[in-house]
Amino acid sequence: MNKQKYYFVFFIVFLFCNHTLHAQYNINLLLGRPPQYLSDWSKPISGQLIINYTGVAGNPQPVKIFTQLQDVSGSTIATSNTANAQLINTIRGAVFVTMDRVLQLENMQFSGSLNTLTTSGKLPPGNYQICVQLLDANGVELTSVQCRPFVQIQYQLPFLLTPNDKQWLDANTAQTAIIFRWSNVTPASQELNTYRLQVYEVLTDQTPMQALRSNQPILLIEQQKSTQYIWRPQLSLKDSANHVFIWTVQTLDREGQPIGIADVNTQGNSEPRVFGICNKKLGINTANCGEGYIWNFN
Amino acid sequence: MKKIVTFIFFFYWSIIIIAQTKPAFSISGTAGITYDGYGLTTNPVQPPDFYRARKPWNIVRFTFQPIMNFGNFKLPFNFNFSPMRSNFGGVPFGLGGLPGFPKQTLMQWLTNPMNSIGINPTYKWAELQLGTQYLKYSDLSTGDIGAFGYGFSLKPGKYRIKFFKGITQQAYQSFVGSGVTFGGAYQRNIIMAQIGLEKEGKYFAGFNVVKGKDIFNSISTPISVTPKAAENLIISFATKFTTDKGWYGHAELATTIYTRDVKDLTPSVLVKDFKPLLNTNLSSYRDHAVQAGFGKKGKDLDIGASMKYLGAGYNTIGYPFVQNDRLEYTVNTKFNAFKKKVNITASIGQRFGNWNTPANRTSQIIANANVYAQITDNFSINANYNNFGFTTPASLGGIKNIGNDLGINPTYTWITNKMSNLISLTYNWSKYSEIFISPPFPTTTNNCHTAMLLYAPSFFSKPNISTDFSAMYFTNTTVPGTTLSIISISSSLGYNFPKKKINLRGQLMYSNTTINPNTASNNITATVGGDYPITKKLKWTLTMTANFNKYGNELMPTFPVGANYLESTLRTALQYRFGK
Repeated sequence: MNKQKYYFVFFIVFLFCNHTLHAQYNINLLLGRPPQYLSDWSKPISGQLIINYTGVAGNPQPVKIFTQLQDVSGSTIATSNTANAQLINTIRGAVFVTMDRVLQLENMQFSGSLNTLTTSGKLPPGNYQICVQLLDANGVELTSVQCRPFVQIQYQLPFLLTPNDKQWLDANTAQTAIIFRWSNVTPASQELNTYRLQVYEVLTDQTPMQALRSNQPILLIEQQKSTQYIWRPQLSLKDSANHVFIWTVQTLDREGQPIGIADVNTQGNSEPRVFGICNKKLGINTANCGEGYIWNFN
Repeated sequence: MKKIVTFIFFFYWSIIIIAQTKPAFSISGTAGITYDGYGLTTNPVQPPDFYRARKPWNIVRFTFQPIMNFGNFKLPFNFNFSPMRSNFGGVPFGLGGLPGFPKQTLMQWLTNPMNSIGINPTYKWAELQLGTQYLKYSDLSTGDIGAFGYGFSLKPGKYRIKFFKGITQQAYQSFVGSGVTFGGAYQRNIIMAQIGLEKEGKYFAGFNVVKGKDIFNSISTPISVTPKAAENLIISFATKFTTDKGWYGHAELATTIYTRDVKDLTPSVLVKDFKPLLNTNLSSYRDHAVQAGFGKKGKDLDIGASMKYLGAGYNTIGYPFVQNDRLEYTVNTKFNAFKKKVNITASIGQRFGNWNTPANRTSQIIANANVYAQITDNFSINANYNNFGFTTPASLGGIKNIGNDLGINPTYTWITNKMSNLISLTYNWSKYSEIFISPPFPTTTNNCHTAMLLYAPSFFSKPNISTDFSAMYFTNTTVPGTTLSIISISSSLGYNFPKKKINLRGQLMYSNTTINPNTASNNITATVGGDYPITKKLKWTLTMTANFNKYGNELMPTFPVGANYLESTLRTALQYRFGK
């Protein structure tokens, strides 16, 4: 009987301690705007997890994070491996954990979306939910599960539509007006995107890419929402020189920052296009304009 | 040290070859200097700005491109350089002129895309590539970005062996000041190699390996917005052929591994290492690309088809602007009819974006056709039609961009006893609609008409005079929005002094532009120029343009009615021709 009492007391004490430990931790997952590349989640813009430990001061208490990624239907698409999860030392007070450590990409077991992650470093675009729970070093739950939704957006920069790539425009009309058109950035946003149209003159002995990377744009204009601009060049384009231009459109977000894509050195610029001014006399076959001209582009 | 040893080896190798070659010497090519001056005067005085200076105030550019021939040994120089920098589309993105921004170092100057400093000593089939080189091994591997470094191209018989190592971008340190925060740019190195078989004009087949890498330590003081250093490996197989009967074809298959953060030490569980060329990590991904084309060129008929697929993760450091995750194909033709008096060129194609996410695919149709007909000796007509339709699915906001352009250009010439006359009419109609399937944005339609009449007389008694007169009307109505109308008249005059071989030319253009409901603005652009051979080998050219624009009330209330600017440009060049 004494032995049974002893076990009972021990059980009650265990439950109490467990509850106390449970109550000593709380977590707050603050999700910002997670970048489209999962490997970029260390950036502060992604957000952070705040772990509050209200237990006694003393030795650091190691904890683990259990993470799940779910799609819009609530189905789990990735789960962290608890056994291999990194230990995070908590002391009395708040500990801030960056989102890459919360996501634990190196420790995730994917049940779907693996192919797109392998080939592009991104999840397919859509709505997702990230759920986290705090565990102790032995895998015992310390907090309840906390979930936060997030959207995975994959921007496709505008395609340049007019003038066509390597098109020759008639000098007589081009010196008065040249029309530029491009597609919208996708996905279309309720926010006001800004398109910065840039046209560079390709100087003698320059390649178009040299001109784009090194010159000052001869036209730099910002358009909000609109995907057409009529340029009045006010230039003399009818002389004998080959006038060649390279143009692109830079897409800026509502904060004026270039839309993020793979390489920051492109600064949110669309794949550029080139066009030339045809100085041949009228009455010739305009399809032969620029015949033999070497673009040194693409 | 290794680089120095390699360079010394190649240098001595070049000297030895020179010593062994025949002494016969010849030189060709050009050298010159070009100056571009720009001036802008505004009323009211800026700032605040209502018109942006669109050129640097001064740009001096030097060229030195002689080709020296010593028998079988050839020494071409390709020096194009300028002490100034603008660099708007490349690092440091136009910030170079800001107060406090570090001046350009020698290495930054050497690797600035504004400058090319290259020498390519060549002996028979062996070419050394030193300095700035624009090397394009293939479409999917190296791209159009130049590199400063060293390498070689060997073409013994049908074998092709190429190698190059260089810098495509010099490092720029982070900078905070003058109201900007610049995270800096890494030094970006590139190594490329090719091995293959080729018979000039017949066939080629070869492998390309290209590796690009950002040097992490090249930014000494990273700040919060400093990007991550990246690394990229591309391996491709490219082939092409041409037959005597006019058949041609080309294809390339490529795979890429892109690492977004070289400092991430966690190994990737998804993408395997590609040792010894590249070790992957957690930020790595791998994807593929393919392009192909084939066709036949004939006397009166050309026909061809081509396709290109770039996977969602197909990124290349050699051409970072490339838009990936797309599939496109094109069919094109060109043919003559009625004893070559009618020429028709046409193409049709389709491009899909977001290809790897079927629900989010965008689609673009591109169709062009051009018909030229020489109806009589005096009368010809040129007509063209362009169409594109870009569709974004509802899941991405649902937008359709549809463009239709139709142009027609009849030209008539007639001759009298004293002169020949050419009259040409050009009419273009262009309609562009942007249709938003989902609210809240309205559909926008642009309806644009252009009509131009040109008359060009030639006087038999004054063969050294050339002139033309043109009038143009342009209108674009945007619904909802405004109507832009431009009336422009222009005349140009050319005169050459045959004995002195001096050519003079000038042009005057007046435009009246109205943007409803504002009052009209007026513009006059005047250009004069000419070229003069100072000696048999030295030529001087000069072009000066003045552009005066006076606004109506479109800038009100920020700027008064009649705000105006005067823009002047001057371009002058001296060019020396080497050789006989």
